[in-house]
Amino acid sequence: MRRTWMVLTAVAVGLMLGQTASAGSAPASVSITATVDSFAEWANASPAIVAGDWTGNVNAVDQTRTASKALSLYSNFSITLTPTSTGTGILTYGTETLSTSYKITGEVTVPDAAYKPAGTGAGEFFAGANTYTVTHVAGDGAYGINLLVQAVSPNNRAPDAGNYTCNVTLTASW
Amino acid sequence: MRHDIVRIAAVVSGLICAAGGLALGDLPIGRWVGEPYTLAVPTHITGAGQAHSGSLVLTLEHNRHCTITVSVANAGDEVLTFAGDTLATSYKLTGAGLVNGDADWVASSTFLTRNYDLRTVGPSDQITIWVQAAASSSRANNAGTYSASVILTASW
Repeated sequence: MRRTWMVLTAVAVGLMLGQTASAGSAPASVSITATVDSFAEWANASPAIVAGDWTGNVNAVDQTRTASKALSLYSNFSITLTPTSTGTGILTYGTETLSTSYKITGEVTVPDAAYKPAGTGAGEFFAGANTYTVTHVAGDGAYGINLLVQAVSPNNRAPDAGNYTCNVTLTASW
Repeated sequence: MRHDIVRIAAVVSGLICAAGGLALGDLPIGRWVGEPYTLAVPTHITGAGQAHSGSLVLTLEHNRHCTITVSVANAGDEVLTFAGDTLATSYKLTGAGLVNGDADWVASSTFLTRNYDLRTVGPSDQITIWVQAAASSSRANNAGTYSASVILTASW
């Protein structure tokens, strides 16, 4: 009988000690999501071609000078580039102009092989049909686009001395 | 003999009740209420270099000091990933009961090495997990829903 009591007591104490001394753990999983929308943007939304970008100043008749601007387009889907100008896109100083033409090269589907005159007529740079396609490759997302400008001075006289300016807008659309 | 059996039965019942009472009052327990959890960063990324964050309050019921560790089921699960593309992923764990909660964002790889001390004994504590998703500043990440997962384990 006495032995029975001892066994019962030991079992109960063991049970209590076991319970109070036990360690444990509880895991919780957390699933996380974040969304990237489709977008396209220029690394530099307002680039400029300045005097130092040209192969040189115009200092003779019938002289050709060129400049190029490397642009980075960040896009995660395929887009169409359309060139426009708020003016004529022709390098102008006062009433004087230089013969102006453009090329687009880089990561477009069909880069220009030759310069296209500034203008909106067929075959000209600002013609509505003159667009460029950038085809997105998954995991890329950055595309190098080069805008090249060519200025030619008249072949029968010296143009006015000064800084000739114009502007071009490349719009990415989808 | 019959009296002995009755006495033994009574004592056994008493001991079991005592043990049970002790267990209910003192048994170490801990559980996350409502797990598994989902956390969606509410603002979408719409441009290169953008970073957006979200948070979720988790409730831990416990009656012992706890240590919270962070792990993943599979290597790399802590990084927001979609179709082979990733977002820079950072975390924070905060809460009034945490002795060493995060003040600043912790890189995902570092987050997995963190041990957080919860020096309260409950009965429940609120722990907030924060996640920040940052897009590349030099390209457009693939468009889509990026996912990650981590496991928070409370140990006592």
